[in-house]
Amino acid sequence: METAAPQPNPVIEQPLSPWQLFWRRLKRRRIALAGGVILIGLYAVSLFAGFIAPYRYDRIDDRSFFHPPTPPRWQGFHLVMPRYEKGPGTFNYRAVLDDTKPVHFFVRGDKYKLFGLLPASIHLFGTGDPNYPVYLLGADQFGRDEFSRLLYGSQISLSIGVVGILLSFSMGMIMGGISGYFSGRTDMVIMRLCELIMSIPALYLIISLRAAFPPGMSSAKVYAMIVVILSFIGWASMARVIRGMALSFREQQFVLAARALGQTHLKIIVRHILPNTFSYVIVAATLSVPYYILGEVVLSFLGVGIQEPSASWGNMLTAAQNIEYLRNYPWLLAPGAAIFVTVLAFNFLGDGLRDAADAKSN
Amino acid sequence: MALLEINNLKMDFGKGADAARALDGLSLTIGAGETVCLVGESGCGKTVTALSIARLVPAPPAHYVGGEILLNGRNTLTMSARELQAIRGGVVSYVFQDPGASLNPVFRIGNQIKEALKPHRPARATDAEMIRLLKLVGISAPESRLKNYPFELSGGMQQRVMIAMALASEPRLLVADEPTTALDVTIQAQILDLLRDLKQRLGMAILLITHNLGIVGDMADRVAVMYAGQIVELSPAKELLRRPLHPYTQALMNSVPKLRGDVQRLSAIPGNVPRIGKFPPGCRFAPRCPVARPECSDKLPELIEVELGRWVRCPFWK
Repeated sequence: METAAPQPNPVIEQPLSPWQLFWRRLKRRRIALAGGVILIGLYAVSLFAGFIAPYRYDRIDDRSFFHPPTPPRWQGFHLVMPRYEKGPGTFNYRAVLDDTKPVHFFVRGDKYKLFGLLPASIHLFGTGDPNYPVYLLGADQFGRDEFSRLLYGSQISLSIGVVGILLSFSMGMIMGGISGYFSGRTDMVIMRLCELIMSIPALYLIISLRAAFPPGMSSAKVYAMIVVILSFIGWASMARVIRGMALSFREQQFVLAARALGQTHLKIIVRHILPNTFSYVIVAATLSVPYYILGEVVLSFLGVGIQEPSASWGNMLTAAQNIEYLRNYPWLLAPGAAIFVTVLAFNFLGDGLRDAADAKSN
Repeated sequence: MALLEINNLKMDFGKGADAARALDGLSLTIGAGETVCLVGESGCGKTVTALSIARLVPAPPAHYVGGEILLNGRNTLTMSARELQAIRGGVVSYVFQDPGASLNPVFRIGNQIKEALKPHRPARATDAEMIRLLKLVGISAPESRLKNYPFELSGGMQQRVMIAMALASEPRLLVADEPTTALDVTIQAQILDLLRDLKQRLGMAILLITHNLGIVGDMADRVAVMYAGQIVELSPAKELLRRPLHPYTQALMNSVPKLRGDVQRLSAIPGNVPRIGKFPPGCRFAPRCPVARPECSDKLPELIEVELGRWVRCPFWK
């Protein structure tokens, strides 16, 4: 079919849609793509945290306080874990190299619920014997596996950013859209409210709001509370920017044209004004996720966030406050590294999205 | 009963001490199936008049002080927001000057036509109906156009899409606010042909706003000439073009370049349209009028019928 017969109906070439152009420009930004891939990996791991983690986040082993990381060794073609015995002095562990157990995949271990729903007890890897522990990143002061807690903690720390963004951005977009579209008195009231919220030092507000709740709250409730508080503070700045954009879009002729077609105010805001702000919103959202992650870290670090024994990256870092611990057990800083990588990945991705959204950059 | 009847409409921008009169005692009727042209310089109130029909001027600052706008016998000035939404895009549809800006840049054409169909004829918001509308306005390969974004179409195509959207609800009155100003001359002629053709096929009335007198002769049954928020001359189109009565109309026609005869310097009307709220006393055109007399600045002349169907706001029209 190489000989091209004259086509009766010339095919009209479909030009690229704005999203295709956007994707095309994004693909050229390697660092942004790397950030995106890292994030996809992190979120996938946190989704399957229970399965990948060899232990439960609250499994305490009183024989392995401050156990150092235990790298698996090669023995022939098998990965093996040595047995560890206490050496002289406190928290000194020695590997017994001739007493090992092979590392198995899909071993039975602690019970957990996959996706918080399905009861399961199969883990990705492990020795299946508590005497031959697998502490990839060591253990904390209660003998809990740092790696497992890091994975369980990521469920809280990574999701808090996304949930927080969804809450605060939808609120900010609606309020900003209303404010800018109607302007006048509505605008005045909403904007003064925003300024009021923004003028309160966030940390004090959070701590005083936290004080208003009972101290022994469950982790799920604390989680919801942190998200709500952070979004309550965060929507104001978003609303201000969206309001400014709505103010300019409402003067555009397509808004007049929509009104002339009998569209309702609500529909004009939701269907005509807000979609025009999406390219900004997506970028801003990506760049603001770290704010929520770090917010949770700060709160948990201060002891008003996620409570023990639940794990979050913030409350895990609380253990690393002590300079003594840091010098002797540096693996306690692992959640810090995780935060660092996540925040950096979000920023790289956000930068790339911003450049790709701006058609003039290239 | 006329389709549209504007009686003694008075509209201010602002209230109280800041009030500036934008429309001052404007009266205009459009019969079913009639084409009326509204001409005048920029800033004389043409667009505000057109937008007022469906109360599209943002209020505030707009503030209607008096008069009425009867559309199909119902006063739009007293309508509720819900009633207005039914009228807009229902009985009366609009086509605006810059088609590129009238389409939402982030949605496909099909999506936007569907939006136009939904509020008034939800049952017919189908692909088949959209394709029919695009065919009606002379767009080739309408099936594939539905997937296009506005920026992928030429200006003429965009304006055709806007007209298709305006026709979606089979309006009785189409208000076209300088529909061809942003287009080049050949496309201009095509769009005007299309409007004329559609008017004949669908039997709708057209209110065409323009500052191009060349269009008037082609399109209009009647012409209303506006100056400083008032109609200064209202007349059947042919007679107005042949023998303009008001000095302002004459001045407008003199500023159209002529292709035949001696090549002279193009004449222009000296000065500018007075700003809203800064109208001179007496006849508003007097300061720029070549034949003004001292008494012109004393009293605002009335719009009087001097011949059958010919109204002029100048006592010295002879």
